[in-house]
Amino acid sequence: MVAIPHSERVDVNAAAVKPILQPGQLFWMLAALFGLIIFAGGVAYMQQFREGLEVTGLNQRVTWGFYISDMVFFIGISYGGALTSAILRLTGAPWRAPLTRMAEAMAVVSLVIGGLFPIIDLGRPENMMNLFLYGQVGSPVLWDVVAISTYMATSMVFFYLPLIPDLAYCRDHLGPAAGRLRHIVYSRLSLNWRGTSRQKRLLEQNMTIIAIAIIPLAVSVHSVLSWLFGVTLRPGWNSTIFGPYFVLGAMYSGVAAVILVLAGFRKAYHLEAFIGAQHFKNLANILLVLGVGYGYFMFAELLTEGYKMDGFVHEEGPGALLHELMQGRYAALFWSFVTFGLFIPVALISIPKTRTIPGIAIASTLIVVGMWLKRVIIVVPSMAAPIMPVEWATYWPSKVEVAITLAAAAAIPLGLMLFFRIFPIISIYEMEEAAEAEAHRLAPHPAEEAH
Amino acid sequence: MRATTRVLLAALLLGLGLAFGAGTALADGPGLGSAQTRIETLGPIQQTPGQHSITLSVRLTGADSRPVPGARVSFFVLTTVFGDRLMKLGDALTDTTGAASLVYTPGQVGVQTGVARFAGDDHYPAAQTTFKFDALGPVERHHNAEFGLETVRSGLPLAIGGLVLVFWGLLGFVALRTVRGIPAFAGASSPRVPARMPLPVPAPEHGRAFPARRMAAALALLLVVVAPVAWWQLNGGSGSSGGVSLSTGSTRWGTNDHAPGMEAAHESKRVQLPDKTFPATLVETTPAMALGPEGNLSAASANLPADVAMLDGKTFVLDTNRGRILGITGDNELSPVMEGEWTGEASLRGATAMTTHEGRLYVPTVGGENVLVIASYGRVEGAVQPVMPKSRKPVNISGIAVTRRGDLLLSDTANRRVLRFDRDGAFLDTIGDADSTAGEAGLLGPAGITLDDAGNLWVVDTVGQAVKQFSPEGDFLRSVGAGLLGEPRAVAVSRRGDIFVTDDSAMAVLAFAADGSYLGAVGAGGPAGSDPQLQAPHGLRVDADELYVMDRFAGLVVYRLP
Repeated sequence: MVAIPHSERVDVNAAAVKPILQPGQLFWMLAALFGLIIFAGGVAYMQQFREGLEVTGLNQRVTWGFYISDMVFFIGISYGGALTSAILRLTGAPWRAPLTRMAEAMAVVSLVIGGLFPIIDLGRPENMMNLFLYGQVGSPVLWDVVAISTYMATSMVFFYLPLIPDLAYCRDHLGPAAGRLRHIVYSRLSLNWRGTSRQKRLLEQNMTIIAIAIIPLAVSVHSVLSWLFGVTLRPGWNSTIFGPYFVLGAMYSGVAAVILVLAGFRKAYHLEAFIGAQHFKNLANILLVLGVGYGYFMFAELLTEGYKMDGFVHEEGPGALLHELMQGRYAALFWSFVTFGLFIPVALISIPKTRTIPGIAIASTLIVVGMWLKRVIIVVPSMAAPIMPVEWATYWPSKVEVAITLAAAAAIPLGLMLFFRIFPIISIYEMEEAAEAEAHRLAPHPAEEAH
Repeated sequence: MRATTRVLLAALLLGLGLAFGAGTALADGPGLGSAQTRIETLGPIQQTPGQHSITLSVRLTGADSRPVPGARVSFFVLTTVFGDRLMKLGDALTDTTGAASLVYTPGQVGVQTGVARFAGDDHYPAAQTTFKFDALGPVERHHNAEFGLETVRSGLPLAIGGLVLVFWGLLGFVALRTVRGIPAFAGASSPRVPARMPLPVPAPEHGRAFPARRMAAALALLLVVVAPVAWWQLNGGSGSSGGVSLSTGSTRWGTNDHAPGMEAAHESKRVQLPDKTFPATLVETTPAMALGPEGNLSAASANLPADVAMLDGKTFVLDTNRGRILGITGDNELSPVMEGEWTGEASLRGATAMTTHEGRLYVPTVGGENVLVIASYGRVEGAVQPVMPKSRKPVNISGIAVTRRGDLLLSDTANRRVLRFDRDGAFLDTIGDADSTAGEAGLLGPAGITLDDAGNLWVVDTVGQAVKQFSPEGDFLRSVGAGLLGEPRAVAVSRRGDIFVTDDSAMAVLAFAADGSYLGAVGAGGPAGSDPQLQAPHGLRVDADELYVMDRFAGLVVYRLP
């Protein structure tokens, strides 16, 4: 067996806990900035809470706007994070080790944020009670809440399990520098982990069970979310492809968000030694497949839409929704997404010259923004489209909606920064496991030596 | 010592008693104890099985036990979610018998507490009453759609529910296994997690693990930058945030009470009209909406018409929801003159204003893409395409006027402005492009507009609840009707300078003298009023000594002016 150089191990340990012990000036500056944005969002929400949904751009016809778009988007991001980690774990991809912690943390944070939006969209949060008082088992709304809550619990367990050995490490090695409060957290949550072989075996088994369970669960969450739209008779939504279309879209945006998180924390905490260009290229490969697939799904969906809509919305005139998307009032949004959210990112990660870390990060940024735009394009035009022979409705988001959306977007990086002030940013346990597995693979086999 | 304790205890009890008494007095609300105005429930308030709503009815009486008509009564229900709060259900005006009713669809089941409150006015002090009612909850309105896989469908929720339980069970199993198994397998040989090399733990920053000073600095920054903004927002802001002041056409959802901003908004909408009638006499009424044999609107019927215009001795009605122009025949019936396009940029559907100029009707599309020029016999002779300046929101045209030299004036409600174009549609300038910070001169929701003989522009400000006069050059001159107008829609000025304004909330046309003094109401009515000629008055014109009022429900109502 080849010995693992001590220096490498120490680097992993030190790098993993660096955000806990030495967050740096940048942390406080960014925390203040994001805190400011979230505070502004909180003020906006308070205004909405006091005055009702009147302060939003929502109206009688367009009852779903930014908030529902945000819900679909943020839950989609979460889904991408969890699924990336779970699939890489189950396929035993050795390069996953430095990525999984950030991907799983992002899944939890964005899910919590996304899960708040249905409540925000209600205007009066107490109306959420009606779901339990008058819930209908035939309604996707009820199942959506069930699926999201189940997925949320599973994501937390999925995040927690591989954290146990690292918590034990922090418990035993950080000492007083971590502070009393953190020490209590580490002691309680590490469950007396000592790294015995039986403990490791148990943990591995449990992690495998959850990794398997979270995949169908994540698929179900976004499928049920898509059926909120798909089972209605609204133009643009009544589509059989919506389940897989949403799932693919969620993965597309989720993997892009994982890349952004990796790029951000890699730069901020100098994790270049652990997260290299190859990690980004591997994720970019996944992104490329998802991007092309999503483009195909969108084409297939719009093609059938074009025929189906003929003469449906208006008493006269061809496919109104498609027309509005392609050439009408939503054309700017639609073509912006197609150009900046699909074609340019796919080109950036396809061309070897731009297939660099900055190129992949730029592509991911475009995808994340573009996919949010796509959610708006899915939600708003179908609501604004007339299903009676009347004019198109209009929707213009108010400052309140914009502020709350920006606050949610700021809450994800802030949530992650706070997470990594408590928990190691890289899974020390998995890094060591991966290193040992690699060492074992490279070690000369005794039988070969005998020859 | 004991004596001191007893004194202190007595003082404490006394204080508590006083505080409780004061709190109870405050909780009684405005003028509860007043004997001058009474508000009482009308009959038992109870939800009838099978009905999804409850009618909340109260009667308001004055000191002499006479009913108080035309008073605004607000209804609330006590909600206990997130603490006790009054949730406003809505307002209702009392009729001639002093009764005010509001239909409420309860969202919660059980006995609820309702409050009816009259805020008081110059003549009557405030009063309120509380009452209990038993809400049965909403009527079952969900019906499962029938389709072929009924068996699968009925079993599917059960199967999915079972699957969800399996997932939770699995999760519980893993959690339990982790929480119990890992400590059990810890062993005793290894007291610490092995670290192959000790971690070089850096010294805590500033000698402390928790950088309190930095946290405090960040919080201070937050407070310094955000607190003024928050304070400004919480105190109502500019009124422009969230488009609150532009919500003329929107439904108010989720309005929570105890909101100073909303209370102010309700206060501002509360209009008490003096009991004064303008001496106009009803000449004739042309019903606008006629039903065919099958109960649908007939082909000749208008569908919520919004405006009226006179040209070549004929009267024309703008059929808003059908996007066409109707004429009044000699038999006092409606007859289509111009059938508009159903969709597209030349469609008149949704248009709410028209005017005349040089023997032609000028009708703008609601989005402002075209102003159709229509001859009196119905032929579209052309269209002016106004070159719209940049706008923050989609344009929503709700008023039009044409100057003597042919310049077009269009009021854009959504963007709070009146736009002036030349006869070819080239943009000239903007009048009243302002917001609430512009004070009296600002336009919050410009709707109907008209020009008087001197060329002055009169603009109805629906949200600002006034009519504003601008000089031919566009300078603000004065405001008329403030404090009397609730939801004004359109304005017309007679030759002698009297100003007539349709008011949706008053269901009347309010008349003002040239100096702005209030002359009285025309066609005033209430839910069960004495003179229910007008229900939703919108457009209006003064032609010689006759006042033409286009009521969206009642049709065209003509009055002779004194």
